[in-house]
Amino acid sequence: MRTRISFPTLLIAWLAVVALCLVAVFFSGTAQAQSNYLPLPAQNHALMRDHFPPGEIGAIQLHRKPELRGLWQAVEIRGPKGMRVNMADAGQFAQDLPSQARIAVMIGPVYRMRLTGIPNEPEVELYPTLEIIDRTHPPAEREHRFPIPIEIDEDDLADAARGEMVMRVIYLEDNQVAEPVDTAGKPQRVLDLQPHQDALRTADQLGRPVAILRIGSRVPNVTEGQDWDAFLYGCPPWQTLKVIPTRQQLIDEGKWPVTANSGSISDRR
Amino acid sequence: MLHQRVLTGSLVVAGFLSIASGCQSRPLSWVGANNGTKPIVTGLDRVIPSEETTAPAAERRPIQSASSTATVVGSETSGTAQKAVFNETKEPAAAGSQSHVVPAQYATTPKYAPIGRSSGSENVPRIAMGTQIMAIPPSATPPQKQSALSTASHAHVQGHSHADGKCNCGGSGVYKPLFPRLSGNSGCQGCGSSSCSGGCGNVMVEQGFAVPRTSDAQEYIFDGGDHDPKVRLREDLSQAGLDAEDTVIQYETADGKTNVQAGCRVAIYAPRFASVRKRQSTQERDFALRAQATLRPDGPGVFRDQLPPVNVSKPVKSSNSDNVRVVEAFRDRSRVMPSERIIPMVTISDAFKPFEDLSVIRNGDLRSTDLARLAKSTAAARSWTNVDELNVLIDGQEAIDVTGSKKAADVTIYEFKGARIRLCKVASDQMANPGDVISFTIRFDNVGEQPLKNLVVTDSLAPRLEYVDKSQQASVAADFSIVPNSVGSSVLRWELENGLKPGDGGLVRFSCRVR
Repeated sequence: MRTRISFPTLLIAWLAVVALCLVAVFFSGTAQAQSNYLPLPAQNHALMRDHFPPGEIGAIQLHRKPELRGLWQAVEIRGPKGMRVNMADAGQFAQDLPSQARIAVMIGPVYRMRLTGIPNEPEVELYPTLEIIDRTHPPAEREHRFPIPIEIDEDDLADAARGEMVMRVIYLEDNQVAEPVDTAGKPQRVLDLQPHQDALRTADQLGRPVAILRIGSRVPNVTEGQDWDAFLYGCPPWQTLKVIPTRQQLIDEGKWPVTANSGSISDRR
Repeated sequence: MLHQRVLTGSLVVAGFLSIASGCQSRPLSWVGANNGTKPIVTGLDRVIPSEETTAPAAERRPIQSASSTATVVGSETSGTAQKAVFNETKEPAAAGSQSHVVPAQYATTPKYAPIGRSSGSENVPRIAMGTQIMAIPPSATPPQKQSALSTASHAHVQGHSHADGKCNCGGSGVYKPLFPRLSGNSGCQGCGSSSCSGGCGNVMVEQGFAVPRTSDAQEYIFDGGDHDPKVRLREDLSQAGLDAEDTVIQYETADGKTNVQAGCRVAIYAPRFASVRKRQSTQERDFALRAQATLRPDGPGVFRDQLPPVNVSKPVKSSNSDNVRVVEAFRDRSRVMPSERIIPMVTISDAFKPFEDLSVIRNGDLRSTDLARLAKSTAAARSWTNVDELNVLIDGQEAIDVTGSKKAADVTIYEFKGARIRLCKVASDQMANPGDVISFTIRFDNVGEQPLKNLVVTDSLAPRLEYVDKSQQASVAADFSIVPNSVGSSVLRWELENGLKPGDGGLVRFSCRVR
């Protein structure tokens, strides 16, 4: 028996078939496009690892966060008593920084330093590098009060003088999950890692990495034609921050009312 | 039959069409990477991404309008002005208590000349540098980062003043702000050198910034409010869901219902840093490299660890939504002030502290001026970091309110009509370093129409706040107890012995040391 199919029914069926074909084509194209991407290896840092050469992590950070370009970040370099710090500036090492010097550096480039006056190693000079990879967000005009502390202890210096490579990744703790330990007036808390552990990844798990300090035993060898400018990483700009007198200094100089009762340690900074 | 043939034919045609379109779909879908993102090479040896050049003119070129009274200034200036106003309110009482006062001779005066205020900047072309805006004179060479900063590293001369953007220095030194700015041409425009010999009458042009507003909640210590999960009561009226940083008050209404109300949050800028250390000797280095470079087949013939990453994960952007709990939580419940509440409370040990100089803290009268100051403290996490934003001033008045704090407005649902309580919390400092002592004051008021009883004020401290022993005070009779919380800090609890009649209130104080 011959069945008659009305024209509207035929039209609807034809349109439905075309729509199904288009849907199939769309999803096949999407699947093809997705197949071009490999998934990230599991249990690995998304972009950066600690064995990247100096400057690469900073460059990646500037690429990821363009707002970091040209920003100054206050840092404070601390070391054992007697240690002298010289920052590379204009092709040479500048004069000694004062103890616990606060300087402003830029995010991204690598800063070469010279450390002398190392305890128990008076003849040794070390040339660590400092790389700032992220910023902090202090209140306006209070940047100098909240620098990133770059602490170099005697163990770091001794290990580096012995020929080891010491890498410190300074990270900002998450205050909501921070360890409830008192850190006031104490050395910076350090977590020592095993050689197979990734320092950057570990710091990323504990907080937000902001700086990388690499201390090795490499020394410049100009006589054999080493590229001095490359050794200094181009001497990126830095500035010494104005020294804020402590409250005790002001009291000693008669510039602070002795009756003022301030219990804030921050006033001394 | 004819229709069936037509149908079959149409299917075949549709199939061909789909195959053909499928062949073209991939290249078509992946073409278009140059739609407006092609870089533009300028004559300044720089490549400016086209999205910078196609940005709105108001963002790229913040020069003042034609009106002589309208002025565009960087918020560095406005932020300084705000800070100055705040210090003015704080300084008189600071001499006697816990405020930061720096004598005038050591008070730094960063006087950045605003971009639009300089008379010589109209003809200065500007290029977008990243997200920053830099003014470059027509004859200037591309910014030499070394030269610009090496000249600025000389000593600062006392008495050097740049008020109103004029360089009137009499010495040979260089204007050096407290914190350096990336300025390709900081110095007098006229004499061309960064050390003005004085009286040249030219203008100091500092760089203006247009950096996106960013902040990081990790750098702040919060206290107050009520995190998710919200605090709720069990059958025995014990509290569940009391997380660190939560501050709530529990009360029983006249109809026997027990409710919990949270207060506002305070934000204290107090970043803390730690580090991880890794030592590698020659042997260890070699071992580590070999261990990391071990070829682990992952699939047929694929060594995934050896391949460079072809995909990147989008960086997680810090969320500002968790930063503040704005003042809209306080509903205006003005009422007649009883005379006994005007008299200062004598049950608490000493007078009101400088940071408590709010009407809502002194006598429970919430005024509009208090709202502004409370907003300053509670929204500090957002507004303080907004240092580089451009604000518009017209005749010295702010024309555009960029705070936008109504976004996070808190909605309070009152289940029983006429029973409501207000909880307000303030802190003595809004930034702190480890070791600093911060005082907190919690003010509670019965702003409803019925008496409340069985009131319990509970504050669970953040892990970086350590309660200073015996520092708590209460203006009303209360049983104080302290128990440890789950994050290694303490839960402070005041159980008020008496109820609160409508209009009554009180406050509790305590101090914490920043870890």
